[in-house]
Amino acid sequence: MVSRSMPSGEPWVDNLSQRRRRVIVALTLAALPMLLAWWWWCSVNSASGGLWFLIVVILLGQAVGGSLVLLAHWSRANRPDRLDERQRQLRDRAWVLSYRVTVIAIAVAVEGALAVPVFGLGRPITLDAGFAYPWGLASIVIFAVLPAAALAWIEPDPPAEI
Amino acid sequence: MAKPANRIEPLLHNRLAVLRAERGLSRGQLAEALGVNYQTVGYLERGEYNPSLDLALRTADYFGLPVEAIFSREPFPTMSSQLYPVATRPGQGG
Repeated sequence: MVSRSMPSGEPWVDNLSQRRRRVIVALTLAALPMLLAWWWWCSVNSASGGLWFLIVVILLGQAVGGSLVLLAHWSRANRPDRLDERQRQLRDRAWVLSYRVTVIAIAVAVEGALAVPVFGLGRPITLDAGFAYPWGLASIVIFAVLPAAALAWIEPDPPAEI
Repeated sequence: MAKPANRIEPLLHNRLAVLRAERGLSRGQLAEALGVNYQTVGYLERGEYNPSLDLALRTADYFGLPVEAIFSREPFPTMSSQLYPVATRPGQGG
């Protein structure tokens, strides 16, 4: 008989399959940029009403709910008294992965910003506060959740008990 | 034995599953004895995680066997080939 050997009392966040965790990571990391893109689109097209509110609530819930699940999973895996050598190694890999993603994201953003005056024929860069502040806030949230997201992404499914 | 695509360290073969079954231990019991998470025993058995020297020595101590009897860089011979070599099987060899 093959079964998952999850000892009783384990919280459900430890029982999520890798596939489900990856779906949660994708939804969580996509939610804030989608929310900001939706906000920007609505402001340009002056859309409002029930649909606007509904989509905002769904995307916000997606971002907050997903972040809480990822952080719960991370905090369980991040308690030093509960970690063995494999779990510590996995956590280190998650830190490295999130660091790489952060560095690449910052490099792309800086290069993109520098490319405007270089290739944009001397056009100045202007940052609208209404645009920059929400994106800055979203970036902080995403970068804060990134190590937890990386751990949830790379941690393989536990082996089945035979 | 499953092999993850991003594996960088060399694969270690082991007899953990056989030894555990021989002694009638669950993964949880072995994990508790070795001081690791129960999932780690599963990953070790599947060859998806190579133990540190410390954990390998603790495992050897627990089973009362030399470490090379439990972990090997080469695949272990099957039990049937060890118990009944080809030459001694009825109708085969001398």
